[in-house]
Amino acid sequence: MRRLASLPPLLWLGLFFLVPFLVVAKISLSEPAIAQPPYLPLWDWADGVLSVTLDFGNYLFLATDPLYLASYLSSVKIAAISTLLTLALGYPMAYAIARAPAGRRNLLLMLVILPFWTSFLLRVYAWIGLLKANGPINGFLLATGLIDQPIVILQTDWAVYLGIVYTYLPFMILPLYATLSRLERDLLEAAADLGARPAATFLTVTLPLSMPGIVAGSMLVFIPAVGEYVIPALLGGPDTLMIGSVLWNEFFLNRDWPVASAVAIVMIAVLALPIALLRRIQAREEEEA
Amino acid sequence: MSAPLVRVEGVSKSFGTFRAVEAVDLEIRRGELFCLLGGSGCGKSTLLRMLAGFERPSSGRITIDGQDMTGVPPHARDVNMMFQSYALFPHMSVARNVGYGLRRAGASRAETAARVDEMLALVQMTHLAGRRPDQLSGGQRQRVALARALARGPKLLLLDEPLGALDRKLREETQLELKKIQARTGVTFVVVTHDQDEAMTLGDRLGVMDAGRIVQIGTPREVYEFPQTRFVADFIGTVNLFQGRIAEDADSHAEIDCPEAGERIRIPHAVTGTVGQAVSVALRPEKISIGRAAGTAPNRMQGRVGDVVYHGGATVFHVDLDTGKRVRVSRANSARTEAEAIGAGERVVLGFAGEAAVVLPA
Amino acid sequence: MSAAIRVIVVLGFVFLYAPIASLVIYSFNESRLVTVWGGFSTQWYGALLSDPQILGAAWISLKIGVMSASIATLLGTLSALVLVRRGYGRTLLGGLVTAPLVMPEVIIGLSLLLLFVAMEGLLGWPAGRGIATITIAHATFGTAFAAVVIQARMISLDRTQEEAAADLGARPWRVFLDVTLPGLAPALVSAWLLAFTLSLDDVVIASFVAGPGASTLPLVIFSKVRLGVSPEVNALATLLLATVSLGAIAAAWLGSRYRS
Repeated sequence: MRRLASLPPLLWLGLFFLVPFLVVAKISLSEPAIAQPPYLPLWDWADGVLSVTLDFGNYLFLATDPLYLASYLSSVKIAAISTLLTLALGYPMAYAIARAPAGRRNLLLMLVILPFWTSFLLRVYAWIGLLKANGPINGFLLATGLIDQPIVILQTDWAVYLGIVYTYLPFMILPLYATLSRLERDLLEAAADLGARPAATFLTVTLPLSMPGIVAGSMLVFIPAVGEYVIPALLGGPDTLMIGSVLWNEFFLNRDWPVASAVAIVMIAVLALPIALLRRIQAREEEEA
Repeated sequence: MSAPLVRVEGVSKSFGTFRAVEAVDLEIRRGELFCLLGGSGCGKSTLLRMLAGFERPSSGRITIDGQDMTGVPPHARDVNMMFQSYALFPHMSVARNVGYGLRRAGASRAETAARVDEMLALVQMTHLAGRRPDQLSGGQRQRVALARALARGPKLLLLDEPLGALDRKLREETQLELKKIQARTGVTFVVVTHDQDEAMTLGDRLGVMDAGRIVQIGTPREVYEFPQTRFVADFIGTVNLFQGRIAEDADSHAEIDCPEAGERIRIPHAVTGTVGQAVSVALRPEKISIGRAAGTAPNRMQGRVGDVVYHGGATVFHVDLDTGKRVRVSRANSARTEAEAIGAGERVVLGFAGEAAVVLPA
Repeated sequence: MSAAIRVIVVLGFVFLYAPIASLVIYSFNESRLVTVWGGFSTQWYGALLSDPQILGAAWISLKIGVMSASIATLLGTLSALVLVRRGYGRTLLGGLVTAPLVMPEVIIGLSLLLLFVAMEGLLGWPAGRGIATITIAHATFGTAFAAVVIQARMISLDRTQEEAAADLGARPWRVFLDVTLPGLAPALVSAWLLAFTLSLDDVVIASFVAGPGASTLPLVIFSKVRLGVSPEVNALATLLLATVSLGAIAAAWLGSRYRS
């Protein structure tokens, strides 16, 4: 009965999650072709001889064309800046929720999670209207006299940061809340009792003890943000370089499946370290629980 | 005698409509080990937290060493606390925990290291300085918490159920050690505990709290032998309580009419109160004698043994008096075997001296 | 708590909810332009409900959502069982269950499409792409989310209840049906709803694995909003929001009744 329970999820996820990566890896080593599907087979049976043609040309191409390197770097930069901004907004919110009276805590948490249940696509789309040159935000700022010309946010990297912070904020707040709510009041009082001012208590006790939450939350934002496609597509401009869009264009516009696969494989390699970091934190949390 | 270190004057504390501490007056002397004793929710921890500065009195005033502490935050008080949970910082080594307060006080690394060594030696934890709290046993954590709280050399050390998390055997050893450390350092200790044995062992003086008030202050012997209220008599140790009325009150003796005891209780001194007033008479089990025949004791009660409970050091007899009242009598087991042990169901006569009875307001 | 933190918290919640509020407000705007308030009107709701493309896409999305969420809940329950109760192959399964949670969607979409193409070449199935392939894709990442939700609940279950049932003579299957499943019920509902919501929301993966004639609602919305602001989409968003809010309130109400 126990073995039986393992079989369906193992088979399903193996076939539809693990095997696809092998297929991607295989195709990334194939030669592009104008065919259906648009690549040449990796191995061939001809006259009883197995011939395998590995084509590293796709990877070579990624390395030589500066567009790809620039896109990877730009994606990592945009994801990193967005992650820091999300942390800057999420930490005080998680802190406040963790310190709120018990009765109000669940309500506040629910308010953080609720937007996540509504369409992500529609919420990102809402920002298009808000950020327009003649949209309400510019209208408000012009009316209050804070600016005398509409500021251009839409179709810049700033709009992408904003979109990522907005979309991924709950992923930052929840793990932070989890660690901060576990922080015992006794420890904070002990620090104060031993002469630490509030700022010193925060730096020597609260911050180090919430590190697992900071790392987990940051990775939960950073990893998907690197490969984000919808947010730069809707809010970013023509100069916004993100590797998710590059993969999309290689696949849908250029129909170059082998290069798109190579882009994906390199992206996984780039993300391997942050994913491993996240796994380690989560494993440790599970052990403690 | 020098001025008291701590003065608590008319201090009350309310949380919403709940009055946790009610009009407490208390003086704690320099260098003494004072125990605040009471059941859960009696306000002892709140009083302690007000001394530490974590709670502000709703009214009244606390002065420490002549300084009014109103509005002084915890980090600016020359008072340290040992938490019930120990509250050791899990991300710091033992040495860094102990040195934490010194660093906050601006001590240099060298000064801190020297003082940490001294403190760890005091609690015999030098060999574990590099460990983290989760690698320590309960007793070891307790020592680290004590060392950390003492490291800054506070005027006053507050200990919240300091031995509550230890098992019984370890607790008894640690009680004596805590007393030694207190004597060696000369720091004034205030210990909060719900355990009367612990309070008796540790305290130079006890303050017994009930429902937010301090109901009696005194040495352990005073509180045990001369309780001033039924609550104190009942809370500290075991006691038999009889309802009665003052029948006679003279300068040299008094008599209490006590139907529950079967006859009048004669007491060789005057009592406070008027004739006819309802009172309670408290009798400790070890102050009652038990035998098959009437002894020479001036007060006697007749009954039948209900249960006999052997406790090792003493045997407790639960005796049903002819009046229907159940009384506990304890007798030290001075011999290993007893040929003519009194057993359940036997008729017995109980006796006690008049001065053993404590007359309390009903 | 300091005033600065209060201000940040208030601003944070404004930040979270202002865009949602703007969608609702503009859905009732007479004018097609976001900039101008042309008066209150429900005309965009009318336009929405008579748009056959949107209605058709919504129906397809609904079907895919129900099917994929059901598969995901079933597989998620089994995964949680294996992971929490230390079943067979749990190290591998643990990795397989958590990886889709963070894997960028473009990679999941691309890899699944390439798999489907390869399978079609090898086995002749799936023939072309459409509802079936989208459902499989959504069930796959839905399983990961469902497993996390159910796992959390399963850890907090009191095992002694199961042991009591077994002690009183229930066979393993009866124990599961009589004790384990009722204990998991709230998590099963949450997991199903989460998988359903994620399916109803997915653009990127569906873009890869959808075929002609199987445009889901997000695909239609995406193609519309890439061209700019569309009042019909505002109306659609408002309807979705109303549904989700009602669902959340109902869940909270049910939850409070369940507890008391």
